[in-house]
Amino acid sequence: MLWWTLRQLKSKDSMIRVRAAGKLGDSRNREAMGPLVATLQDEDWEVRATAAKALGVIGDTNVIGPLTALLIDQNSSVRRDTAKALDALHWHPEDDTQRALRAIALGEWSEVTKIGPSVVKLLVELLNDQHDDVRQGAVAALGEIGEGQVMELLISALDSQYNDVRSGAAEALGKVGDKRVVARLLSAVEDKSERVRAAAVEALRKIDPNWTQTGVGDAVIQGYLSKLNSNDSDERKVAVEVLVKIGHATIEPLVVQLQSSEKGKRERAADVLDLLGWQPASLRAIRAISRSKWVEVAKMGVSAVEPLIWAYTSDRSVRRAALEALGKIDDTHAVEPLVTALGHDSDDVRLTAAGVLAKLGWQPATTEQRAYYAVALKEYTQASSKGIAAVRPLLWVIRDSGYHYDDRDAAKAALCRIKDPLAVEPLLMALQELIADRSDDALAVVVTALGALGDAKAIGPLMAVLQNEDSMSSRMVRKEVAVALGTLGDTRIVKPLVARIKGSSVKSAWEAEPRQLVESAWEAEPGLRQLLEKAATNISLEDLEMLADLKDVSAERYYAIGCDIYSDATCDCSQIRQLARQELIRRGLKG
Amino acid sequence: MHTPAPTQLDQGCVSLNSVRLKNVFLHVTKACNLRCTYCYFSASQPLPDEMTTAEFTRLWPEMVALRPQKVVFTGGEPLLRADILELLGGLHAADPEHHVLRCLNTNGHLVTPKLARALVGLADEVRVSLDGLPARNDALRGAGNFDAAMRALECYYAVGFEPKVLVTITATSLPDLEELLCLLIEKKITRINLNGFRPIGRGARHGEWAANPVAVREAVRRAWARCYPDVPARPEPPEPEAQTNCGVGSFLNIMPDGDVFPCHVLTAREFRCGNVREQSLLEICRRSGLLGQLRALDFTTMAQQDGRVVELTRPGTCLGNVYAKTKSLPVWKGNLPLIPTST
Repeated sequence: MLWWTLRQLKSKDSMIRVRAAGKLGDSRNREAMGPLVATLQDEDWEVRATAAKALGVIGDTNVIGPLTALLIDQNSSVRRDTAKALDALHWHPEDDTQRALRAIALGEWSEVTKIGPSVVKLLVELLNDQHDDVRQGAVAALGEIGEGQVMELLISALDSQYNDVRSGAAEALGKVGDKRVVARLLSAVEDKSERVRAAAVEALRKIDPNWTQTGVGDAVIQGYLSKLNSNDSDERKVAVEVLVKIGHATIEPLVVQLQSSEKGKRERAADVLDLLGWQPASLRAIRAISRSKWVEVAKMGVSAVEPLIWAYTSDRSVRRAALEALGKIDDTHAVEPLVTALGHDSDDVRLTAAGVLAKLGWQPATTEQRAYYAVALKEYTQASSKGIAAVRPLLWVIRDSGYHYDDRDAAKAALCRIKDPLAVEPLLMALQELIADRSDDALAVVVTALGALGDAKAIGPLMAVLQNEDSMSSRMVRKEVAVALGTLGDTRIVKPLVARIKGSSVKSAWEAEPRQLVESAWEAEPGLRQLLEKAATNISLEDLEMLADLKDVSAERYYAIGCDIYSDATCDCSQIRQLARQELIRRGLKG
Repeated sequence: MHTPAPTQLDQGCVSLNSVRLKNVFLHVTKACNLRCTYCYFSASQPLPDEMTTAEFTRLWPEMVALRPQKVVFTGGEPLLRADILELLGGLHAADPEHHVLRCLNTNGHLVTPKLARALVGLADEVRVSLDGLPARNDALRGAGNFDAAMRALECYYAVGFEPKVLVTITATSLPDLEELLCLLIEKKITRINLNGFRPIGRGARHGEWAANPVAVREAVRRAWARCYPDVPARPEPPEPEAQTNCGVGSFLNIMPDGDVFPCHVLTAREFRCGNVREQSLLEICRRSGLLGQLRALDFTTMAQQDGRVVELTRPGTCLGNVYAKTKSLPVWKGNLPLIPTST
């Protein structure tokens, strides 16, 4: 059946060819030698290896020539089986090259290094071998040889596509111990492969135990320290490993970073500390906060209170969670910071703190707490009944454009409802601040609130505002100041406001435009009306007569007839005239 | 009658959730001592269940919270209510900061010097209806009305009021307009409202009485030139372009029985916004309700949706008149989903 087996050597199926080669070897039939030698060129490495083994089994030394040629096969298994077959045929290498090829094929790397520099070329070729054990052996052997051009070859090997070659090269360079390679090894410290990085650091340590204290070494360390804060978790991991290896993985900066105001930084620091196996007892709360483990934090009890206060005051993104965690701590110590948070300058802190306190069933103990609590809960009317204590929190709402329009309006209404005479002082202070800030919207409300309080102390500052046009930027404010002074019954407003309605105070052509005259009159009319309603009896006869004769101001034709038709372009002064005439009649001066 | 919780009103900002109102027309009675031929309200006898003084008293805080510019006490003839001074005083008391102007409409017949004096401080604006010179006016409004109205104006003026004259312009009274204006101005009555004729109520029988607006403007121009020869005429206001909304939703008509409608014209049942005896006025006026929907109507968009309602976009057009002619069109239901489907 030899013929059949020989025919199978040419099968299209490589497995059939492998089995056939094996059978021919086992047959020890020398007639098979020729076909088996031809099969040493088979495209399949397993067929080639089996054919080599078969020729070794047949035991005829005539095949030594073709077999030695196979020692440079690209496949290490073929080379190994070939070397074994040659050994079986009692073959003795004729020169260093053949000796080297045999040793390489059998993985006898120490034998290879004994041969010396003549094998360097062979070893370099093996650095790209498809088998990692061969590549590793080759690069290690190069390191062992360590002479001549080997240094340059190993440095080049640091750029190999294979991790094992790069790491082997780094190790080898470490063994060589030449300080000239330090710079190159420093770049290998940043290799993508952990194995290479470890080898590079180890090599650097071998070459110069104090390398980390050099300028370059320090730069490397600083680079890794900065990478501890990388957004890339792999990068952070590498940095930790390297720093641990070189003994620079100190936790202090990381602990500091745990208290960063940036949530991301804190989380990264917590990750790194985890990688370092950091298990502190004292800073457990900070670490848990950093990892947003709020349930865990709340369970820590009193020890978590301070860290939670720090968290809500430091980082906007965790404020709500931190305050809610405080609310879950079953200890009275947790309530105090929540009460303090009612006075925080951030609305979401105040609102969250109030919500948490409400859930806890907390009851404010002082008027100030009641006012702040009510404002935080958006119970503005409730707040206004707390008098002076409500001024500051209500002004927060009024001035904060982040609040909804409805909230701000409700807070405005509440501020104007404060009846506490003591509120005059903080309102006058607010008046000056708001004038400086040019916060017209809030300024108008404070002015109205001052008018509503009816305290004569406000007259001076308000009159100063009225007389100093530069201090106000909007008609709305001017109108409210006039109304407030009218409410306070200050008759000194009559002449300046009448002048405004009559247009006798205009300073430019623009102000003399009909539409501008109307708008200017709109500023003054409510103040005069208010004065006539509140304090008509105090107005002088001369002023009353002037008011009774005050003409409407209109930008439209035929205003005098059909005023309601064009009322949006008209300042109707009929209420002023009417009230003035009624007062004159009351005094018996007009019929 | 519904009474809102005190805290609701204490907020002082409840109107934020409500439509912004200009005028509230408070029809305190349907009783009238006149039978004007065009009365949109067909006023004559009082309704059997008109709101009581106490009911109005409960209404005032809500009214003040809504902060309309004016509350117009009207009728019928409001002075036929024995408690009219009490009603005005109630609103006055509920509005110590005087956010709302209190206006009183009358035909003038019941105004006496004593009443006028009593109204000082209670009413901010007193108004008297007068449409023409004696013959045409009395033919429209009733015998003796011209003289009564002029007497009322004098009574009011004597106690310090600047009374306002309400002129309803019809094609019938238009020939008198120039002379009437000159007469009033001569008597120092310069606050005059020119109101359009509404073809509803008793006016529905006189659809042809709508006056030509150009002729009205001419009459006003001539009266101005005669009364104010030395006052240079200001430029005419620009002709308004297409209107996007006639102002509907900014007004409120409260009927003597408490029913609330958006205006004088939209008084069909489907436009009933509620009843102040059954609901809070604040609830009736909430932005999400029918009033809010009416206020948000964009006539231009509606005309694009259905060309048959393009008349809405013409300046001065009343939504009610267009609705009456086109209410079966789907464009209404599409834009006013709160109107019941049966309409």
